[in-house]
Amino acid sequence: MKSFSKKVTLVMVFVLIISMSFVALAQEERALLGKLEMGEVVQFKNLDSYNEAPELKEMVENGELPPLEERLPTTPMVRQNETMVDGAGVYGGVWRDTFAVPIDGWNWGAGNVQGYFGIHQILWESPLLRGEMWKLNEPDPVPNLATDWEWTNDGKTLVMNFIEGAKWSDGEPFTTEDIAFTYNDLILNEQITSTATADDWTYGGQVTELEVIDENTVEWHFGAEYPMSALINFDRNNFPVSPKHVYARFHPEYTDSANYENYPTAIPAHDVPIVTMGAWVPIRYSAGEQLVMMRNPYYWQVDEAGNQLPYMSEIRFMEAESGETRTNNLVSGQGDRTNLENPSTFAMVRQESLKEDSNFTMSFGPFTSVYRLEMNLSKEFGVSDDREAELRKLFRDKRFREALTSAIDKEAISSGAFPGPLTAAYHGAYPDGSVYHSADNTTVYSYDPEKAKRILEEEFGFEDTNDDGIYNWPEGTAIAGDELIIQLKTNEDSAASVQASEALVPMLREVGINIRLQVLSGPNNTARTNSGDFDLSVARVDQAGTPYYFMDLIGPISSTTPGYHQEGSEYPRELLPFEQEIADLLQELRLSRTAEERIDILHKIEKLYTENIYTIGLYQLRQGLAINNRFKNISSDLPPYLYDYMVNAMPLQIIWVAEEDQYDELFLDEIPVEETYMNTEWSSK
Amino acid sequence: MFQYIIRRLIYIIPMLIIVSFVSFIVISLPPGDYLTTVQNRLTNQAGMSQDQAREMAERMRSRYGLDQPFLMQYVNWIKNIVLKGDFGFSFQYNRPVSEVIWSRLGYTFLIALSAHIISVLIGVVVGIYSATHQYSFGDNIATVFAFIGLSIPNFFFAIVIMYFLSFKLDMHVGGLFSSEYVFAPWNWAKFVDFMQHFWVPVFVVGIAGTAQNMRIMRGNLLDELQKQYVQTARAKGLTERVVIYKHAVRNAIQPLVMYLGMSLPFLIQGAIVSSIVLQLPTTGPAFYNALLSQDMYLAGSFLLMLAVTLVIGNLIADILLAQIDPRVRYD
Repeated sequence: MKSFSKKVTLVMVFVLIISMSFVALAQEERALLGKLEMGEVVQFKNLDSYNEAPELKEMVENGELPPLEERLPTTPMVRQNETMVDGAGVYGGVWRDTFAVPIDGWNWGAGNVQGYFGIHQILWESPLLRGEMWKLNEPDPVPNLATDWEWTNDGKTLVMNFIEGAKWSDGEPFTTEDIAFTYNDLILNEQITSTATADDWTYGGQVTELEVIDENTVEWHFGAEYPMSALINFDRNNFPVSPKHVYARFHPEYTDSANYENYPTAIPAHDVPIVTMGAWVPIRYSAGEQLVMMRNPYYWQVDEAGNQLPYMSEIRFMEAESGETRTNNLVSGQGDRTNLENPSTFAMVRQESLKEDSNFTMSFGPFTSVYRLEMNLSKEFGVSDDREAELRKLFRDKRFREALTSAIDKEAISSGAFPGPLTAAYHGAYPDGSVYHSADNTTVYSYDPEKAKRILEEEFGFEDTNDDGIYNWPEGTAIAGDELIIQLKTNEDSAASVQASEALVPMLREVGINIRLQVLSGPNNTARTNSGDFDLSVARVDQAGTPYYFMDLIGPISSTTPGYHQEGSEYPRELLPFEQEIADLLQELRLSRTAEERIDILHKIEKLYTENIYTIGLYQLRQGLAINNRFKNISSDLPPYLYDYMVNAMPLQIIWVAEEDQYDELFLDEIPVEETYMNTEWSSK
Repeated sequence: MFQYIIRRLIYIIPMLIIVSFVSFIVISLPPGDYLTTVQNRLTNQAGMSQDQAREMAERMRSRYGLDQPFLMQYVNWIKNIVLKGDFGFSFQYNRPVSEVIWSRLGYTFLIALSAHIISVLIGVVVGIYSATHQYSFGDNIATVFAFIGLSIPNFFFAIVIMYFLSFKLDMHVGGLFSSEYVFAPWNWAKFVDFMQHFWVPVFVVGIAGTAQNMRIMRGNLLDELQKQYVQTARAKGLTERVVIYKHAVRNAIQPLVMYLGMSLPFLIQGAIVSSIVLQLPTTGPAFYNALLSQDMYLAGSFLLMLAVTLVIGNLIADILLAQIDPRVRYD
């Protein structure tokens, strides 16, 4: 313990100077968090005149593209000035990014991966998007391809209108046929592994029915009244729309010669360009090297002055083996952005950003990531011997959880990770950056090792019978006399988790608990969680701030969640009384209709959660974002991840670069037109 | 000699069977399989809830054939290799294994071969200089360099160089090209960009080899120069250059030749750790990622390839030695 606090002091002295400058970041006028109404983010309306990028204008003059008025929808989406902190932009420029997961193929409707790292957000368009919800004062999903919706028929029908006259990137019309194809033939079809299933759409025991009314309107018929959580199903992750005119040819329902085995591989990774509703279209891909995307001439969004978006013409994604060189290349000015999630890199990168000739700026979002200690509460799932059985009994007893949390000095762990305003102690449920968090509802168990020891000795009868500093199990337990040894697992990929776990070992030894730490590889760690084969687990959780979308992180919403209290196939799960209360509240949450209701229910859950120490919070963290200086319209408090990742949170199509700072585009003459699509392999299969 | 070679080649077959079986077992040992990697990715990268991620991974199980018993998967794999030359499918890269390996072999060989050749050339030349000017200033410098090169791990060099290049010199690191040059046609500027990236892995991978070759060459040559025949040659009136290069070096270089043969698997492995640090599109990182994500056919095929190249490398080394040293005879 002594060497630990010495280390903390040294680090604090050194870095405190640097970290002082972080506080200044918080007070800026370019902040958008929770400030806007929905109408100040997007609206659908007709404008008097429209304008397009110079390279597209040239292509129209050469007869390669139809004129702008024919390419835009009847009523385009207009992005409002309030979201543009630097105002409307100029055309041109390049965005240089990196991705590190190989591209499977382009058939996202069948579960193909296109590399993540922002590529999915660019290509996948869905009826609604939650990426910009962080800007709203009353967070609700933001209209995207769906312009507006209304509950009728006592809340059992949802009438949804879609954008009129919009076109896919190859000029073919986007209609509700594409919605119906995605829903009926991909999502509901069990033979195709898409990102959602019929189960996700089952309410009141009935699978939701889709009725197409006309080209732009559909009706969803539900089996329960006002299943508000259904709006989550319309987001990018769960409802990426696939173009029917492309994929019906490969789908056995529409083409006799097609089969389900080949459907996922219909369009392999090298076969570009592909059809999308996104702002950019992939035009070149060299596996292992680079993906290039150019502006979509048929993009259906404009700014308030009538300029067709996006502002930037070209995106180049380098393919790497891992995301680490992203930070190096950002610092050297060769790349345009990186995420900073690991506290140990904060100081070094911050130093670089403070230099006069620095290429980039760092910003830190609200507190969104948390590190927490999970205790396995399953009475029987994953238990293989007496020791584990006895430990589960202990974990299920609130007094023990109280002892455990009192033995942990959360302030110390938080400053040990990184001193200053970027980390803070965390007491469970939601982080401070969450709109649902309230200090009034959070029960704080302060650091009190004496109390911990007292509880263990007096309430449970633990005694150190062999004088080695570690308690021994009392009489009456199946392993009486054995040492109190508890296993703690964590993921080696998260350096900060490992550091936090290592800090716990001496802390808990002080109160007589012998922690055996197991640092496991990512897949190994997940496999052990899946099988319930663990005692304690330290995990980093990024989504606890938006619990409405991630109910599985705060309570029992299904048989396999939360990960630390699962139901096995052989043994029923016995929820503790407060867990049952939380489970009931979560079901209410699924059907809640207004934002106030949601806040109310989530407040109640936070109370139950923290009072009963469902998990033990360790510390919370602001995630950092570092972006090259030349970009405009980047708000000062842009979160790298809140509701969705950065590309949808900005969104990328409103980002622009002043002409004198723009890098040259290299592929302006490769913007895809009708002919380019006809030359692909997939179009002639 | 010919019979000897044939016999050695035949021994490869039982070895391959054992290697493939053992590697398959070891790869499948950790709990979970490729789909746990997928599940991880869905939660970490796609922002999916844990529930959904787990369900989606489960649904993909039968598509990958991972719901079949272990022995069945192994037998199918071997059958396909022997009958169809099909090394299986890589889940991670969504392409046949042979395509993944083949597409990376080009750069792997280029980097490893360049590093190898340069390290041999420099090592031998400097080693000869060191031995003939023993304890001189030049020799001491070379010795210090050798110890540094041998003792510092090469991935550490890689990290330091990368830091220096990006933080101090504002240059692009990772991969073999900067963002603007990947699709550019080959011209002088692209060549310069390539060299700016290329020298790093060659240096990093080659430095330990250079140091080693230098020390070995120096030591062997010093031994040879003590021997009687050298004295005789000098007494005969031969020039110093002939004495050293035609006679002494030729003997001193034999252990180096042996070592060269055994470096063939090293070529394929492509200095895994350095390649990972430097983010190169070579076989090293692919192999490493395959092991991590339990992409078993890819990992198993890599191991098979390493085993084969090791044996063939040894064979080549033995043959070369027989050519150089007339005293060696095989029956």
